[in-house]
Amino acid sequence: MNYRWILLLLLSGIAILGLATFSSGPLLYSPEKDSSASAFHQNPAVFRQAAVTSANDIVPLMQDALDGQKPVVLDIRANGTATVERNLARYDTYCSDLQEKFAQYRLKGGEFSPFLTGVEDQRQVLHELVRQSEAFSGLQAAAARTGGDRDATATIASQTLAWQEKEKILLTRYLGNSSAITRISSKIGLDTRSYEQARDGIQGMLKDLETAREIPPLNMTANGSSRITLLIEPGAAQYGDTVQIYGIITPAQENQSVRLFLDNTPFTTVSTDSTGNYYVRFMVERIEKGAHTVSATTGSLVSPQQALVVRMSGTTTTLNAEPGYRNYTETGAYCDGTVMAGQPVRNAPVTLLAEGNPAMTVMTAENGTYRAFLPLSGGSHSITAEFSADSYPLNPSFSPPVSLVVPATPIRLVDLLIVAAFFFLVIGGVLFWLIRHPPGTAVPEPDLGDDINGLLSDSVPAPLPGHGDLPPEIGTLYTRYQAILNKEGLSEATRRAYLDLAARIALHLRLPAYRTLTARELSSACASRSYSGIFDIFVDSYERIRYGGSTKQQDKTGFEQELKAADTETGRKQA
Amino acid sequence: MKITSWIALAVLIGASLVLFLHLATTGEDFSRYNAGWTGTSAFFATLDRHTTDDIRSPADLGRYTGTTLLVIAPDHPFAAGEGSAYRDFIARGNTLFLADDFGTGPALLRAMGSTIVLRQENLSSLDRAFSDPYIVVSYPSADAWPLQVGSPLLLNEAGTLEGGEPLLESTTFSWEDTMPDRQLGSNESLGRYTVMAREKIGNGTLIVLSDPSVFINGMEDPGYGNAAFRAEIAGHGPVLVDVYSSRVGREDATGAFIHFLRSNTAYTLIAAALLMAAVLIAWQRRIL
Repeated sequence: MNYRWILLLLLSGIAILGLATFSSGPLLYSPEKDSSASAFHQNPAVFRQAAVTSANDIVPLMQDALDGQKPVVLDIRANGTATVERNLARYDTYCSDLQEKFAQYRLKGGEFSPFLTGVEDQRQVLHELVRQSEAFSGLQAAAARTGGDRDATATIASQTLAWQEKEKILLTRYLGNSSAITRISSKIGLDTRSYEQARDGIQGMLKDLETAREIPPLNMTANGSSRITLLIEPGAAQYGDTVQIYGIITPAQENQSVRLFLDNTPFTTVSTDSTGNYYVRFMVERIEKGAHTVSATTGSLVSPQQALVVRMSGTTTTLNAEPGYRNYTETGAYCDGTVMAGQPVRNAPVTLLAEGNPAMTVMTAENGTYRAFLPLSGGSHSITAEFSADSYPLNPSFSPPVSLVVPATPIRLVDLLIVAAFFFLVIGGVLFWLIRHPPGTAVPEPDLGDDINGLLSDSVPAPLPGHGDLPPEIGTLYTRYQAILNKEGLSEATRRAYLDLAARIALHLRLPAYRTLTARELSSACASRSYSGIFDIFVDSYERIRYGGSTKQQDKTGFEQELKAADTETGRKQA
Repeated sequence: MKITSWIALAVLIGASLVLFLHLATTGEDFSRYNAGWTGTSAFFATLDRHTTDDIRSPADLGRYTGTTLLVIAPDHPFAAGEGSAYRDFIARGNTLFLADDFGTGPALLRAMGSTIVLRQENLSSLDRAFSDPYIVVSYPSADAWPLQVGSPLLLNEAGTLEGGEPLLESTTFSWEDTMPDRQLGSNESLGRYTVMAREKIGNGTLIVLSDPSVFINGMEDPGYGNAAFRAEIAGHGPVLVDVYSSRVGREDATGAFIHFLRSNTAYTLIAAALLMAAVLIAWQRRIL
């Protein structure tokens, strides 16, 4: 299609589009893409993809943070039950969810801040109270076990007094937050009935403490001598049990450092409170089975030794294994499993055996799980996991064997694709080169830059009379044209005349490959030259005769006039 | 450059100019000539032109009864005498619907002697549409025109109201963002805030909505009950549009010129004819 038609079509389309005044709104406008700001409003369209937030996300969490306290308080009032840890853990989850949501929505002020601060403080108080409750229960059990021992009686009396004072402080701290929490909750429409029952429970505990009969401290140092006592509870334990250690130093001395020994080996240090009491708890983990001794020292004082019997526990080891690869080439099996002794066995070694032979050792995590890649050769294997740690009070255990088949070579689809892509590129490249340079036909383009004057040699003629500023060959194109016209006709004569002129222009433009250009392209290429307009018109005439087949006298005369003009203009000295 | 290139360039520029004139829109917020998201062209396009009239001066109000006057986003300083004109207009049995947040609505209310106070603080809420606390969901607290029972209304950077009979309120999880940081600050407090209230004055009613942005094109149908709310107001004819004090009749200089051109059929035809003539001449002279 003629480019003029395309241009006309394009311009008409633009004009019609511009005049399309029938549309009520602006075309090509999209609010979603309008990022302009306004002092008066936000563009809702740009928010469509954002998450919608609502009080519905917050209110249930706040309600949970209120309601979750009641079961914990009831457990504490009942001096600790089996469910207290579970209820407390659930309450921790409620509080952490609420904190996370507040942070997500950046709710830092107003009523939200004191609500969250108060609830968080009450959560910490509940944790302290649960711990107090456990310690107090242990102390009572120790008292029952030791009978009328004077050291035990004095320790129990002193610790009980200290804990009662501490508990009063905790309960008062809890109640200090409750009024603000209740007020805020009521304001935003939360149901506070359950929370108020929890608060009443705490108030009841405080009242019980304040009306309890005061226990008189027992004087252990009637003769003025200094002493350190030690109680442990329980006296016998197994893996995972918590052992609590209580004691008192007389005369009372605050922040006195007390070192505790297990089988005469120091394992922890604790400080005394203002009344000389000390308390610590530890979990039975890496302690060998059998009878052990626990003792405490401070300065030159040494407590009587207490016996701790550690009993063996059974364990269960599980194993899952799947064949796989590592680092693309290494074959083996991905293994994971658990070691449990009623509860997770943590930081303990597990040996993986292949065909009964130890292959590697991994350590369990805090939750008793382990995970490892076991390198194996290709073929069938039987894998077993073994827990066997002599330094633990735990019986060894083996997992059921897992049979699997490991593929010999890790050939993957991606590898095949990479190889295929490589060959595709190489073969494609070769084919492309062959298409561009067919064998036997690849004749290099002649370098006309140096020989272009030779192209004009055929048209070197005598100087044009009356045009002394022109080179001698100028003004002769018409003569050559006439000669060819008589011999080969109009069409061929115009072609040869065009080629003569094109060769001259190519010399000006330094275009060795000018024969690859159409007449129109050559005309565009010389647009910056002074003769471009004349040459453009010359090309029009040339195309009408040569390609339009015109033999009209008018066209022939026009062509000859434009040939003469172009001959003269292109012959002038070029910049 | 050849003469053909110059002419082709001129034709292209001419066509582009025409296209620009068509595509261009005024950038004035709340303008009914603004077809962008900040304008109100979509809302005003729904008004029945047979029952809608412009008010260009408070003096024009004297000849109407039983109508609803829309004063959307006013920014004109009101004198006491003008306030009396609006008050008398209501007392004759008309309804004045004032929608404003940070404009001169408070001055108009004072000039009319209304008991409703417009507080120019950013209403924020946890009950929000999208992720912006200034795009607040509010709920009807009374069954009254133009609200739909139980249908919430979405507000966009609204103020709050005091006084009058509350018709529309935010939820309890809302606050005035006095420190405009889009967060609930330590000195900011949660509470329900009135965003639409009404007051009987004589035989008529004054209704105040603390957010004119419900009428912008960007809030045409963001969900909730906004589309129905706008339709209810648009269909409550006869409607008077206050272009004396309100931003809805406002245009910037470019917008006014373009509006003048586009609203005049003769100029449009002349432009079209000139352009087509230029194309035909270029074609005839074989320069295209």
